[in-house]
Amino acid sequence: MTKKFLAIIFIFFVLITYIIPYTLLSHVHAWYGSFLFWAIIALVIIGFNYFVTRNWGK
Amino acid sequence: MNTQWVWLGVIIYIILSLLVALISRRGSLTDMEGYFLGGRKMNGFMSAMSYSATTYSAFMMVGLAGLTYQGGVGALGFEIVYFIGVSLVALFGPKFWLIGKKNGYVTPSEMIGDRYESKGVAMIIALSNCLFLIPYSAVQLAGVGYLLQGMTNNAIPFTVGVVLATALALLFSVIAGIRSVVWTDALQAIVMIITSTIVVLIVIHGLGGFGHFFTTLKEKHPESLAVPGNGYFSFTTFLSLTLPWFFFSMSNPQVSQRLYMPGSLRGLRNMLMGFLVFGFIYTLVSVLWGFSAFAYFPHLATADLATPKLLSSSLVPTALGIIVMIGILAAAVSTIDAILLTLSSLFSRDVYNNVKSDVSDRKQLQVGKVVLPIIAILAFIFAELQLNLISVLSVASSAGLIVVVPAIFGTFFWKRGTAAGVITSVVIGAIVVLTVEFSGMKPPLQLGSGVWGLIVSALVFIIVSFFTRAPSSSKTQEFMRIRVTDAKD
Repeated sequence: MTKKFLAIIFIFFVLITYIIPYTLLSHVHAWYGSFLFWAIIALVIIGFNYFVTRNWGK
Repeated sequence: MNTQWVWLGVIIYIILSLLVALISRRGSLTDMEGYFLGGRKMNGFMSAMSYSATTYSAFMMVGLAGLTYQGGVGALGFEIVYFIGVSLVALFGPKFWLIGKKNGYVTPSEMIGDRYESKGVAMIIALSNCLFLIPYSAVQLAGVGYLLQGMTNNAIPFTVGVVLATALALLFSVIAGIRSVVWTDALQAIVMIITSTIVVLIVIHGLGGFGHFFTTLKEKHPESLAVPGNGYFSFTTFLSLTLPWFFFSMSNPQVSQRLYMPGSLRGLRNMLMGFLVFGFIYTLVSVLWGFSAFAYFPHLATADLATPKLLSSSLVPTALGIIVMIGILAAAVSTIDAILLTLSSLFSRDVYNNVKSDVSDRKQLQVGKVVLPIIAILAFIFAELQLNLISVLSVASSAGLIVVVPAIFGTFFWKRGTAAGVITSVVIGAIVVLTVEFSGMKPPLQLGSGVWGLIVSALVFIIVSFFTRAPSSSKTQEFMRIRVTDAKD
């Protein structure tokens, strides 16, 4: 997977972190709205970093 | 809360931490690398815990909880943006680590100065870091004073709390330099995460369990579960608050200096991953803590009262309340001691060493050790004075530190960047941030000082660099060509 592709995915994550809660989820007043979305984004970021750094030191 | 019990908790915490600090005394402490970087031999787990304890201050269980109380779920988004920003370590971490090891850098500003072949660059970055981080430490110290005072109904006066926090931070830094900081940080991180998780689970259980808890929020305060919600987290406010924190892992020297410390690239990876897991749990716990306060006491006069009020409520058993309070105290002290140590290394390495030429490594260390208590006393005096000026500088700290970010990107990714570009971008960027913060003016487009600081410093860096002479191509190439695969553990 190229660095460029990883950078695009990362920028995509950053953008949806800002955009989705203020658009699609702005009227979802429940735990499965922005609360769940941001929690999932955090988990995805953990997975992303795990993947990107998998070969460090090998 | 019973003062004697609070004192007992504080004394146990002091004894345990000091024991750990004393045990950490080994390895060379007689040179800059040994004292400030642990000889570049830190293991992944200790580095991860220490990185976590240094990053997460008393802000989490007090400030972030208060922010959740005030603005709802947007506080979670705010912290998650910071969390995503830590991914910058995946991009910059190996570069810092490799070039730091190769060229023997002790501070990030030393590295940036060398890259742009300018002592002035190293000095100006070190001084701007001090300008924003000393007041930030002072506010952390004051936070401990308020916490102990509030929890004991003034039985432990403000000054006693501040003196205690200053003395502990100083002790943890001087006993064995970064080694004692890292070891006590690791202990404190474990205390922070365990106590806060337990107390939140108990409180939510007391409020009827997760299902009932969120149903209460949904029915009584639906706006707290969405953004902009009650209007506190408008999009521009959210952007202004989050942008400086997105770059925190690069802009704050007390954490970026950590990138030099792991003994191997594998250790660096473990530090990053360990921190992300810690941060995920601690963030959710702190936000749920704020939501709990909101569900239980929806009409407090100010959001700052959310944590003390909840800790002294019937939902939290006294013993646990004291342990959590110790966790918050530990969070503050573990942030302050790391900042003290980093700032003293910045002063001795990048200011003293550059003003006086040919200073030996031993002499630099001596100067660092002398400066350490001076910075602590300075922070203590600022905390005691409770000046408005200090609180403004503290609020401005994350925004003020962001102005170095364009120079850091240029260090590794832009050949054309110049020393003049860095110096002007840092100075003008800092002036923009300070002007916005001190004047109380409403910046254009309602974006905060950090956003404008970043935009202005990036533009100035680019424009000035185009009109000035770039450093030698050999130095530039050395930084541009670093690859993760170059690492030999």
